[in-house]
This record gives sequence, C-alpha cells and structure tokens, in this order.
Amino acid sequence: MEPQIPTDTNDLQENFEDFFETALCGFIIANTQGSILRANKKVAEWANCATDDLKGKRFSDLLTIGGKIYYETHLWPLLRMQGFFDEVVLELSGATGQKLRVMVNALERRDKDGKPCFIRYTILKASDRLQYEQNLQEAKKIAEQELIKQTELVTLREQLIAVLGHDLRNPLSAVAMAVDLLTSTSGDETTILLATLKRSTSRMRELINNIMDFARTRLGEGIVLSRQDIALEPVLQEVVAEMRLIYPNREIRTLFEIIEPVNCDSHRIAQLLSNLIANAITHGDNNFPVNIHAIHDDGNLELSVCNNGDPIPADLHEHLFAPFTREAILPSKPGLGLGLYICSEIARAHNAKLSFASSAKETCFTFYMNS
Amino acid sequence: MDVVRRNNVVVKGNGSQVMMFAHGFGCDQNMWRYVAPAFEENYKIVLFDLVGAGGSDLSAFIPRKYEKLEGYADDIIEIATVLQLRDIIFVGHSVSTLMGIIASQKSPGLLKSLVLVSPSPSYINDGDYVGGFTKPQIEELLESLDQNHLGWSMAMAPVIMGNPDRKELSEELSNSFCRTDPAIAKHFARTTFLSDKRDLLSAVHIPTLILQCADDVIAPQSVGEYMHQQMNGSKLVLMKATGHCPNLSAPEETIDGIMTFLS
Repeated sequence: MEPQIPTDTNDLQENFEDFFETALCGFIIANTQGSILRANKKVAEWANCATDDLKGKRFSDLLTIGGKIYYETHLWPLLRMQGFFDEVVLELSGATGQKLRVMVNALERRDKDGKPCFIRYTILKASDRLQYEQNLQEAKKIAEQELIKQTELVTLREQLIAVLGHDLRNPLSAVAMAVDLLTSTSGDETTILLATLKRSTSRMRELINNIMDFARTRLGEGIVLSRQDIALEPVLQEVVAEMRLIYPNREIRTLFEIIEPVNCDSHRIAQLLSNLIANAITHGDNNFPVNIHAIHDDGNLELSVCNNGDPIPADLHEHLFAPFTREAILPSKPGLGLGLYICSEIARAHNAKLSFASSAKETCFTFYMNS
Repeated sequence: MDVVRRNNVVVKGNGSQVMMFAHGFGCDQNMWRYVAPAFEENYKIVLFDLVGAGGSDLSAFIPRKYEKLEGYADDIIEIATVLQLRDIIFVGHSVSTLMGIIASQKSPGLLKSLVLVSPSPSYINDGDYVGGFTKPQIEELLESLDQNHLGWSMAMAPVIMGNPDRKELSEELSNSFCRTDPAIAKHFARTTFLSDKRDLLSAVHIPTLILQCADDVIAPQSVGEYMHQQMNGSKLVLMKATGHCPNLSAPEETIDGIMTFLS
C-alpha cells in the first residue's frame, strides 16, 4: 500500500509517514541484498529523480565511483559482519553530475535468530562540515609551514649570536691583557682610567659569555658540565676578589663554611656567583653591602647572594629566570636580562635549585644543591 | 621470515585435502567467516590476510613488492611452501582470484583447482572487452583515494583521538572490521584496478569454477562470461546473489556452488 502523507497542512498531526518523508536527512530501506525498497523525498531530491525511480537500485548506485568501490569492498562487508557502520563520509552523485558529500550510517536489522531482515540507511548532508574540516586542514598546513620557516629563522639568528659572541671575545681578551700590562707599569694618574677600562672589559666579557651560553642552550646543546670534587672556597674567593677589584666602591661581605670538597663544575659555579654578585651590585642599594653566604653541610651546598634596596617588582617574579627579562621600569640599568637565565641553567645542569626571596628588607638569590 | 605471522595464517578443519581461502581488496580473511566453516568437517582450511590487510604484519608491506599482483602471488606460494601444502583447492574472491591464477602458473602442481568468486582479469573497458569501468572512472577512483575525502579516513579515527590509552573511545569511533591504513589501501587500489591479466586466462588448465553475481558493479556479468570463454573447461555459475560479495550476502548459495563443483 502506498504511504499516506497528510496533504492538509492546516491540521498537521504527528505522523510517522510524514516524519519519514519530510525529514531533513535521507532515509533508505533496502532488502538484505542491498536493493532499495523505499527511499524518502530527501534522497530523491539529492539524486534528482522521483522516489519510485530509486526502487530496485543498489545503494552504491547513488554514489560516485570512488564511493561505489569503497562501499562494495569495505562498507558492505563491514555492514554484514558488524551489523552496522556509522559516520562514514561518502559522495552522492546527482543525476546531473554534481556531487554532494554526505555522512552515512547504516544498520542491518536482524531477527531474533540473527538473520538479516532489511537494511536502513540514514544520510546526512555534510558538505559544510567537510568544507570546514578541509579549511582546518589547510589552515594547519599553512601554520606548520610558517612554523618551520620561523624555526629556521630563529636558529639562524641564534647561530649568529653564537658566532658574534665568539668573535668578540678574542679582541676583548687582547684589550684586557693590555690593561693588565699597563696597570703594572703605569703611574698613579692613569690608574683610575685603567680601573675603568678593567671594569668595562670585565663587564663585556661577562655579557659575551652569557650571550654565548644563551645561544648554546637555545641551539640545543644546553650547559655542559665538567664535574669534579674540588675545594670550592678558593674559587669563590677569587670571584669575590675580582668583583671587589672591579667595583672598588662597593662592600662585599662573605661568610664561607666549606670544608669538604664539593662535586660540581667550579667554572660554572664561579660564573653563577659572578652573575649573582653583578646583579646584586646593579640592582642593590649603594649604601649597603652585598652579603655572600656559602655553606657546605652533609654534602648539600647552599650559596646565597643578598642585597638591600628596592624589592623586585611583583610583576617580574613569574618570568625572572626567563631570558631577556629586565626591569622595564628602570631601563637605565645595564644588562640583556640573560644573567639570571644563565644562572638558572647552570643550576638546572647541576640538578640544583635556584630560588629567590625579595622583600623591602632584602633580596636574596639562593643556589641549593642536594648531595 | 615468519610467513605465518606475516600473513596471519590460520589453519583449521579435519580433512587432508587443503582448501585455501584468499580475500580481495578491502577487508581481510573475515570475508570467509560465513563460508569457510561449512568446509571444516571434510577439508583442511587455510585462511590468511594479504600483507597490508587485517591482522597481517604491516611492517612487511613493501610498496615495490606489492606494486604488482605477482608480489601477492609469491606470498601465496611461500605460505604453501612453509606449510608444505600441495594440490590445493584455491578459493579466491575479487582481485585475489588473479593472485591464485598467477600462483598456479608460477608453481605448477601447487594448486589443484580454482574457485573464483566475483573475479575480473581487468577492470577497465578496452575495445570489445567490457571491464565495467572507463579509464577516467578508474582515474577518478584513484584521485578520490589520493584526496582521502571519502570514508577511508575511518582508519584514522584513533590517531585523531590522540588518546591510545582510552581504548573504549577509539573503538566507539572506528568500525572494527575492515579497517585499512589509508596509504596501503591507496597503494592496493592502484595495484588492483590498474592490473590487466587477461593474457593469463587461456593458459589456465586446472579445473576452474567462476561464481558470478547479478548486479555486481565491480565485476559485471560480461566479465564472468569473458573469463569463462577464455578459460577452457571452466564452469560458470550465474548466482542469484547481487553485489560483489556473495560470500557475505549469500553464503548458502556460495557454499552450494562450491560444493557442487567439488563433488
């Protein structure tokens, strides 16, 4: 019997025939061989034919060639074995040759003995969704290409920094040696000038070392340690002596309690201390000393550098150890913002912790290494 | 190399006469799940997955080797050699029917007879030969595989989920049978739909059964008739079953056809 679809829309009652025929998705009922028994108006509209014309066709007859073969070789077997398939993207081929991309679900209805009775297909238009998906794929591809380009650029830039740092170091060493030589032979009148030269070259050396270490960590090499058991106190004393020489007007107080040898890379610990002292002198109050305290106890090393002065602004705390973090409010203070980054990398390489505490009373940076 | 593992070979059944079942493009040995059990009582059943399909070792998929059907046929010969099988009744579906024909000619005595279910020696129309597809249609098929905008992406679902630990999610998303690696499916489709083995047919001299479905869009009746005509002494059975997979949609009719041929 032909389905009865209500024609009087003035008095529309809910009705399953109407639901089937006027649904926004396509419905197909087929026999167990896959031959269409009934399809709704939506399917006929997509196939550009009358619903009766679809009877007796196979579902795959509605598909483009790729879909036909995919259906017959993959989906039909899947349907027979699994009893359903869902969320499969296929292309309907309209009578006039236009293609419509759809999402198809199918269910093989079986009786209580598991014998298949008929097959139901639900077809949803998916062209917008798939277009969106395709746009996302395109956007992803573009973003990936852009990322590759940027990564290459960054690498190039960091290589440049490394090479530049390296090339600057040699002429600087020559200057430093000349200053040392002149200091030992000149009279009083030039001593002040030479002290200034010495301070400047030392500062430049520190900057160059930091830049090179930064470039190395960025280029993936990281900070490489050469660890050994070493008497650390003389190393720290030498750093302090050098800093006193460079900053003769600043008081640096030390308290060292290191008896046993410490297992570490002493050059790197010296670099860390030198950076921390320079940092404390730059940012601390001129009228107060910089206090250095090192304790080696039960294999644990704690090294702290403290200064008085304004506390570190709260908004800097989070990124204090990130490269290029500087006190934006005081741009006159020197530095690239690499010192603390390098210190934290040195600590990391030692499996140690570098922390800070900053209050109106004092600011302390503490390096702590477990045995 | 462990051929049994490579091809996920499964041996069952009580008989001494060997029946080997090969699946075609799409899916795996599950294609025979409704047919093979009917022969277990009287035959030794050998099932396997082509490399790249089902439970086969995907790392053994060498694109160069499987560019040609001969590569797959060599695997069939290897399986038979390793398992010491001779005089095999070879039951192939779809493109694997050609692998059987190639194997029978490469290694005489290996196969005793051929059961070809929905076979086709060439899918592309050529002069008087009606393969079922025009060249542009096959090109469209291969292009649609390249663009991967059909449901082939189904196999990708677990990857997209990016959550291999939560298996239940992946299983909900993907359909568990007939899952294919899209790249392998693409390669296999090319090998399958571009091969032309019509020249091999007349050289087949072992008993052959051709099971031809009605309304098969992949291997139309004209193809079955062509094969029957080219292969001397072959038997052609036109089935009531429709579509390309009678082993799934009409297992009883398929079993009857094979049993009649074997008796």
